[in-house]
Amino acid sequence: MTKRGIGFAIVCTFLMLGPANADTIAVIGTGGVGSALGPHFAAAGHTVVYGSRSPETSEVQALVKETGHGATATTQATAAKNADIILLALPWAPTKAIVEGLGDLDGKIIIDPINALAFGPEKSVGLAATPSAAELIQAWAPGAHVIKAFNTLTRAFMVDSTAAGGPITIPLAGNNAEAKARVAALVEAVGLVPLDVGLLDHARAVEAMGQLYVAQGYQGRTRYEFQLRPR
Amino acid sequence: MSNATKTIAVIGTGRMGGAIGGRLASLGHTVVYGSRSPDSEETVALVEKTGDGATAASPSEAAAAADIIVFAVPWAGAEEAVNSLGTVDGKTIIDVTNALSFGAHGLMEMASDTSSGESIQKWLPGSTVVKAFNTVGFHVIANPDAAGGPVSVPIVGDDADTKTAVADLVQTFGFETIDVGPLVHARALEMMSMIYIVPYLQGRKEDAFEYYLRRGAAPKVSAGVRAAG
Repeated sequence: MTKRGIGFAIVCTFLMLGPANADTIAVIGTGGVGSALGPHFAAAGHTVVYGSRSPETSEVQALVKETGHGATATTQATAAKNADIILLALPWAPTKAIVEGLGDLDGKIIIDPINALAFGPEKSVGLAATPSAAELIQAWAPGAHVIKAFNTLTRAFMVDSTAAGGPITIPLAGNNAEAKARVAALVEAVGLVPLDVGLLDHARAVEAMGQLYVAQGYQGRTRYEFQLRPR
Repeated sequence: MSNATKTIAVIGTGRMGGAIGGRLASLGHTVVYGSRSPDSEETVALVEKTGDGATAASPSEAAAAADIIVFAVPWAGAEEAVNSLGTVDGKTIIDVTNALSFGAHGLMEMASDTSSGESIQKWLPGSTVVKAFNTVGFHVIANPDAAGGPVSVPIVGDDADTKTAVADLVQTFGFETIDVGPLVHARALEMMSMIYIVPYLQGRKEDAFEYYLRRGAAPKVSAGVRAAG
């Protein structure tokens, strides 16, 4: 790289990080996770655009109004097109088709909060994505920076982390350090504690934690929250 | 078994086996290390360091003498070590081993399609395998107070009574325990150990952590809750 090129790269990096660091965040899906996290992102000063199959419905419009701070709703592809960061707040089954319909995702950050679970006989809860949902999403959007996050807690504590009786840690897995740092800042904006636990293939571990967490309630054992407590 | 002392075989004389053996002996249990080379300098030194009447023997002798067997062998040698135990029908096996190996990126990756816990249960069908201690560093087992706060030991297994007995034993070490389900969940616990060591492997010791599965407020489901997903 030339000296000028390096200088340009430094300026670009600065602009990308930006002092105010306000991003446009597409929240794809307006269900439990999208409606819990979208309002926090908006309140933190980001521009939230909900991506919905039916952005004009009264439910989605109510969410837009509740979110405030200039949030809007549009189609999934339009929301993704204008976004720096995309939250895939989706059930696992339609995720592949939806991701492939989002258009060019090169350079964008994708946050994957999905628990791909298989509910079997005798209340068993298995993992449904091999090797992991996050790695599959990365393969479907190879130019994007996929970060696993927000899959190891229940919706109620995404809405109000202070109701959890103590800190909740959000383990983050991903290959791009800068993308991971930006998602970490979003985790903090929700009132949760981010922790970098490794590269994207370590999303397998984070998804296994999500599996344990869901199974705990589903199988009727004592509930708990993951606090990866600093030593 | 909460307060009764037991004869406990510790298979594996590495840092994990040594840490667990040391704590068990100081808690009043009779510790027998099972080693391929019980007379080696290292094993003799470990026995001496453990004290409190600890001894070392072959794996099969140690297992035969014990009510409970702690299995703390590196995954690469696990099957061979299991085969050296002899008959363990009816005994409790506390599996500490993680089925991990180094990946190309310098971090760990799973080295089994299932888990160490499930593999050992399959290899020793007459025993009852409970997975415990595998998400805690040997240094924390040796001295839980040094962890600077509460530490949870998540436990999995298929037999409820055995799981309760192991939980009682683990609690005497100074850890909280939490039952996180059937033995098939051992894979999740072993992957949790995979990320536990990432800060150490990446030289980010400031990010080192302990698992605390904090029992807390039950989530209230509000009237406005939307469909999951």
